[in-house]
Amino acid sequence: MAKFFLSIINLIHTPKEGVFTRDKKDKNYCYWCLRSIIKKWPLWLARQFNLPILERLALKFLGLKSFKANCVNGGWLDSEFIEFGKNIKIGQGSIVMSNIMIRDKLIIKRVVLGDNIIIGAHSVVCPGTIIEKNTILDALSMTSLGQKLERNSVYRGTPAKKIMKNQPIVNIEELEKSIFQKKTKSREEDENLRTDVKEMSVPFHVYILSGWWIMGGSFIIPGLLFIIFIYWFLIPHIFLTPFSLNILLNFEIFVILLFTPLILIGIYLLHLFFVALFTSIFYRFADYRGPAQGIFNRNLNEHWKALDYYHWRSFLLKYPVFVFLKSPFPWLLNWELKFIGSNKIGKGTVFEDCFIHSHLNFGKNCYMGTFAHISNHMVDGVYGTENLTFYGAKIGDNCVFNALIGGMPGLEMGNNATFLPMTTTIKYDKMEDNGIYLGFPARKLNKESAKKFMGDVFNDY
Amino acid sequence: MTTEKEKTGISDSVALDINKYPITTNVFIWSPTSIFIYLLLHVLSFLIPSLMILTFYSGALNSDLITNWWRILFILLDIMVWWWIYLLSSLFLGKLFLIILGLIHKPREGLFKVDKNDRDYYFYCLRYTIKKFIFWIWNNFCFPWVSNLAFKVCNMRADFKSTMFDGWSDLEFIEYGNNIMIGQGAIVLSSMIIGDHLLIKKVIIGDHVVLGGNSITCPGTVIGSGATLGVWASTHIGQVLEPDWIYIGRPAKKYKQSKTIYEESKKESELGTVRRLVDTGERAPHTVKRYVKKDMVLIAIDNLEKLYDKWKESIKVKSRRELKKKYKMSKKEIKRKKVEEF
Repeated sequence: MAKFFLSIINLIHTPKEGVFTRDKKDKNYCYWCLRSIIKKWPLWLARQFNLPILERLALKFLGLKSFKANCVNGGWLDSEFIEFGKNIKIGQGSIVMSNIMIRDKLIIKRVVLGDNIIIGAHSVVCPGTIIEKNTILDALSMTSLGQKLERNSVYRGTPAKKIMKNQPIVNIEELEKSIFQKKTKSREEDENLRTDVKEMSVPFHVYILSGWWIMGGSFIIPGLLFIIFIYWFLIPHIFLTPFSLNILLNFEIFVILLFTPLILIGIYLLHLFFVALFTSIFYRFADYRGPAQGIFNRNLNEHWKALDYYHWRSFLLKYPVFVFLKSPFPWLLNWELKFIGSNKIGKGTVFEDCFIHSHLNFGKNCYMGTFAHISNHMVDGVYGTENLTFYGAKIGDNCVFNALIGGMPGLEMGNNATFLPMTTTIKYDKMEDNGIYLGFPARKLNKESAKKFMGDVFNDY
Repeated sequence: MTTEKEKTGISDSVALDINKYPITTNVFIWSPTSIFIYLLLHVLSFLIPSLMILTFYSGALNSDLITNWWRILFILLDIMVWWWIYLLSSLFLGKLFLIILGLIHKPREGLFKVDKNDRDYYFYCLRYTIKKFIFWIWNNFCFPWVSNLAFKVCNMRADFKSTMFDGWSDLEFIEYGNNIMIGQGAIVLSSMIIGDHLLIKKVIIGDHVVLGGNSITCPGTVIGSGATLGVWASTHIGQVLEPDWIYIGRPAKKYKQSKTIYEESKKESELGTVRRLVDTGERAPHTVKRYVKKDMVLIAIDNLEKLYDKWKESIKVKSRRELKKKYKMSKKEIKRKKVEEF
């Protein structure tokens, strides 16, 4: 079905590379949105069954050319404009993207990956990159827009620079000896690995009870409806009638068959609604009793009521966010967070597969990329006795957070600002309007460095 | 600098400096046997719960919804039981398969060729698929920290107080300590590609260790107790981190002792926090409320202060009343005088 819709849309409007504005008037942007929405459902289904082969098949079906990547360990691939060679290894949490959003522009450019490439963990391949044969992109590094990586070499850094040649290893036995020369002591032998374990005073029974009620209680009414539907409706009408071609001609059965998926989806949505309802009740209670934003002097082995409410509150949000983000309707998350009352989210904000916490307030038309993570808490000190900072974020309109960014508590941003991939801020950072930021800690790009990173692809800065 | 490095890279191609080698990923290949085992595990572990679900209507409700409608209210218990049986059966079957594989070929550390004909690598792939299946099921549970049990069963020491569900962790040759924290998106690798070979070396993580968000731990690292690896930091192969230190950068270098960091941040928060204005590079003060845990003495002092305030107010009210009385009295006196005058 998805392939059918896709081909129709591609007939109406062929996908193009280039720089487009993020606006409903721009046809290219509109059709890009449509394509990505259509692809969401089959990709979600393929990921749910946890067979990497299925995901690969789905990606291939949706238009990735010659997809023979050997290994994608929890990495993320955009599903168009990527050309693959053979024997590619992509690391955990690394991202190959063919589209990027910078301010109000959407850039789509083809990525070409050659044979025998290794992309390390947590690294980003930006649109327009060409990687030739036998190269290694190191972990925690990023290519710039439209960069070309030469063959047989190793690249590292943001943006990636050549550090050495990638040569075959000759003396494997020597290498093995040198690596395994020092025998590591095990836990029992080494005193450095052990300390006195601190007892935690966390009320786990409250967690389990509330979590259980949220998860199981949301199944009561949908479960009742589901059983009624199956045993009183489906079985007597369809399963008990002997199969023959006359069934298809029977109008009643035809209508029932047509409506079953709709009813099942409705029951699923009802379950999601109850999840949100029960969490909102618990969350409001915890928020009323619990502390506001601030700094805590935390001691995990001492009992403190304010901190208990804080821990419980952050636990409560975990399951609902997980359920909504991993469901086939991830855009319902905006409604859910507003309904629970933990976040303020403006109209048109989009969340991809990212981490979300409470007390983060987004403006209109923001975008959070894959694996993007704005945190609301941070810990300084030894485990157990530490200074805990708990502070939310304020984000203006039209902000773009690309893949793999990190935000520390107390972030404050103006309008139209952009975080390029892998940008990370420090505690209590404040950004003004219209900036483009890169690096760790985040710095504003001036004109020259912006040109260095974006090349000829994006000139409007 | 780059040219120098290039030259050295060319000249000593034989002796490869393992500390400068790029951090890559692990790799496993799906062979037909692994796919078969994977599907078999899926089917077998779903058998018992699916039977229970299918017999729910005839068994628990006695095929009558009208008289036994109250039974539906307890469906949350049923769902929990189904789910738990699914989880435990997957774990049990996975462990069984792992033991059988271990008997056929004992897992060991070393450098192996990435090739289906290499026996060590082939069995590594098989073990990996089984563990992948187990962890997929356990991570989709509504209480994700229960997956510590799966870690325990899969020969990775772990305890129930540590949080390890947010990151990517390799599934064998890791020894976790007690009360550790794995941050969001942190990666713990015990196997890595070097050239066309796969290196497997044990990672040992001590007690009270915090691995920051998006950090990478390479094979062979030993992290001492109470040490912290910062955000976006990475270790090189075989690195040893000393206890009670904070490490940042790539490869990780000593930054500060964790006690001093604690004291500094405490001082800073008492003096008043400072925020960075990124665009101009200036610093500006930023007020954040500070919560302090109150013990009995502090609470008593608070209560005394409240009592003192109340007492003061009551005195004020009394004095006001007296003033009013005086005022009224004086007014009356004036009136009397006036009357007397007339």
